[in-house]
Amino acid sequence: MDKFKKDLKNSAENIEIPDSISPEKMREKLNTRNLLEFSKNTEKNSFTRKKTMGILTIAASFILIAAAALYFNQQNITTTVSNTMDAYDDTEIATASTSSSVSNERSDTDLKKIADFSKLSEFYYTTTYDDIKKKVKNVWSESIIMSDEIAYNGNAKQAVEESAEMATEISIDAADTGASRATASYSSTNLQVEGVDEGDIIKTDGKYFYILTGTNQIRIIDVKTLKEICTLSNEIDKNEVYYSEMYVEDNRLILAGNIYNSSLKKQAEDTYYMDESSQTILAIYDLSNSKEPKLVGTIYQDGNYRTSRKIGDYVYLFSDYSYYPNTIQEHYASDTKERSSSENDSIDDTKIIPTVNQTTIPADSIYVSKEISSCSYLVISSVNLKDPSKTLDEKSLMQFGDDFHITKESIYVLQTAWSMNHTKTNIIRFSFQDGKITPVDVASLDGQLTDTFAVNESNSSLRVLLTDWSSNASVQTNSVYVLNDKMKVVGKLQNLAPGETIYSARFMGDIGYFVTYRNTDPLFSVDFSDPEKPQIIGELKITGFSEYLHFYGKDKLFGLGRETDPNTGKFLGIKLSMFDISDPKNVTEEKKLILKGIDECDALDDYKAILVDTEKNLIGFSVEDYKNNVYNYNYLIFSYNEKDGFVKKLDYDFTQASYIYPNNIRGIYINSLFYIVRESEIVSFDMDNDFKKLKKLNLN
Amino acid sequence: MSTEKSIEFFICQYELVYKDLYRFALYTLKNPHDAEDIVSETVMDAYAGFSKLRNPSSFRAWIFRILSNKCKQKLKEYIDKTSELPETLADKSNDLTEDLQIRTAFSSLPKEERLILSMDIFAGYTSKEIGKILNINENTIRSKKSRALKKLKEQLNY
Repeated sequence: MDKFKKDLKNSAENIEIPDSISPEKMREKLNTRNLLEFSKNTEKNSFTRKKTMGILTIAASFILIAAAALYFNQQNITTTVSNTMDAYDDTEIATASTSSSVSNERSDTDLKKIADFSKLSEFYYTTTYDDIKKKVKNVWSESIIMSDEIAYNGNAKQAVEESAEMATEISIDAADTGASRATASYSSTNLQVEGVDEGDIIKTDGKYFYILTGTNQIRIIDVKTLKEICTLSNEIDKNEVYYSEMYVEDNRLILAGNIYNSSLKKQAEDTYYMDESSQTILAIYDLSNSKEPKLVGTIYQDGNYRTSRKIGDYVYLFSDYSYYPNTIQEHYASDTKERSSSENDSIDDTKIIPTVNQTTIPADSIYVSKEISSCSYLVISSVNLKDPSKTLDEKSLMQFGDDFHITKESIYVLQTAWSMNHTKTNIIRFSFQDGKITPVDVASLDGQLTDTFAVNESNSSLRVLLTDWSSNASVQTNSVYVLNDKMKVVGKLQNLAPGETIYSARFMGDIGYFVTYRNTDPLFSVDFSDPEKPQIIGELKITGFSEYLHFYGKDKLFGLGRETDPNTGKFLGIKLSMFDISDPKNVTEEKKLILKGIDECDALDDYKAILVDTEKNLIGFSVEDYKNNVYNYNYLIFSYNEKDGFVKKLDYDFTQASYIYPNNIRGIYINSLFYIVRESEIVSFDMDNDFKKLKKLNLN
Repeated sequence: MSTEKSIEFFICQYELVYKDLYRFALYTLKNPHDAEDIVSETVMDAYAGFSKLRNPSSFRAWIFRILSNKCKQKLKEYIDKTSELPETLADKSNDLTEDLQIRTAFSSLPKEERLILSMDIFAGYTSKEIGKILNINENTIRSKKSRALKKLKEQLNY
């Protein structure tokens, strides 16, 4: 921990700790509660009590030994069953079986049909609602523990990760292309996969700018006049919406985020409580009249908004749903008399299975993980924007996705599975067409994805670059895998660059490029032309490392990263590199430019914050530097030519005296004008006239 | 009785972390009453699940995770600004001026940044772990964290 963080921590040292939470008071509280629980359980369920008592008596002797040795092994702990928890579990399960018949679920599909999904059976299976509920209830507290194992097992890795902290793991973009956005006269969001649109906080359709503000309003500004024509509020049906991102296309504004609703619920006779819940929302507005956008459809989906993609008229919406029994707190409500009456009512069984537009996801569309116990789900739904009031399909996977690779036909969900001495990545492939989502198969590979762009599909084969810390070797190694459309590994390369981590990657056709880093930056070229025999065909060592790679025309690869001193590893500044990749076997660093003293750059963390346009020959991003206690913020635009290298076209200083940390800045061009757009201002420049500043609109 | 033993056992572990639990909650929520309540609730939930904690060495990470989730939930309630007391962390103390300054600066941070920094400083989670717990991309956590630290440094002329 650095000194500053230590000081922060120390500033809390002298705070008085309230007596009510002292170990002594807590012991009393637990003892009292335990007695109450115990007597209540005796009345309710004598069988449970007997069972529990038996276990506890045996447990006692173990605990004594354990406590004496100050060493607890797993078995001892598991036997330390608390009778409260046991009884609680029993009650819940009992409720589950009775209430499922009254809920509004679609009827359980018969098991025969479910068995047809055996393709996924090695890792996932489908089952009945009752089974899912039972599983979720049994594991909800364990899933908390699971992530501790992450904390625990992560320790060894911590040093590595922390040292990499400054040099955040990258992003790369615009997959196979890098090449031109064709004839479009305005720039759009920097995408991972050409043709698969991603949401962003600032968008344009060439006529208007759409800006999603920190206060969750959408401001629509006329590009020609730079006048605001409309502000869209963030309320839908009197509920507040926190939008994360948006899409604009064909007179439609599509907003994705979370909606918060609160309602008063009855707890006991005369006790009410506020039930606050949030759901993912997709709101579709018609823009035929831009001054008055009209809400034409909403999709509500359980869980927190995770991500989305738009392919033509179809939007695929992803959310993370966790079942967390609120009733636990109610369970421990201080007035124990009330509890017995409210307990049964308050176990909200219906919440266990996620819903989309108020309909519970069918049991045969929920894939339960065999390996991992979890009460978290990834929920995926699809919407046709031409009929935006309903979803076309819903699927759910137990366990969140950690990363996604979404092409025009496939969704790859990457889940990292941690265990004691092993890190694995499970990749689940769904294929989709016109909104219909079909599970295909699952692969499980050693290692972990460290860069969003290190996974890429081309010609129905999937190429994955993973960093593996878990092998028996003392340091991490890197692997390249090629999988076919059935998710079977057909080719691989292992034990690459020991001790280094993948920082950035990019694929173009049969060739993949990736950067690992220790003290120098090897840029590897991998030939995938024979999927069964991927081959490292080139390795270029230079100083510093690239965190973001973007193809710049056919023969060049642009890298944005940091320059370091190869001897000390000290950061010297932001580095722009242009690699000549005309011969992938012999890649060279054609030109480089170091921005000395600049230490931060949004684009290193967020690929949507950079504009790279080969046709217009533009590279734009914002930087931050800190000198003499003052932060300076600049938006920089470069062009590139082989002779002079990177040439600065614009250096716009938007440092403000006020205490504002500008982020979420986007550079956009429309015809011959360049705009720097952010929440508080839009500034326009004439690209035909040396980026002369034209107009400025203050949006505060 | 055996249950007493299991409580004893739990309290032994709790004793090692309870001060940090309270500091975490106070720095995140800014409100001493809420901090007290939430630590107490955390203890009740933690004890209920304690029997299933398979690896005692992860007690700290585990109980902080419960607390983090509760604080996150609580901060959501603060969306309705009236429930967040205008109180700063400094109000309660009469000790060293330097600490007071740090606490005042800390309480000026937006709630999400307070939560993320507390998870780093008091709970000792890495950015990756914080990301997992809060369901936020770890890169986003990193940049939020460094931004928050920078703000503090600037305010404190560090």
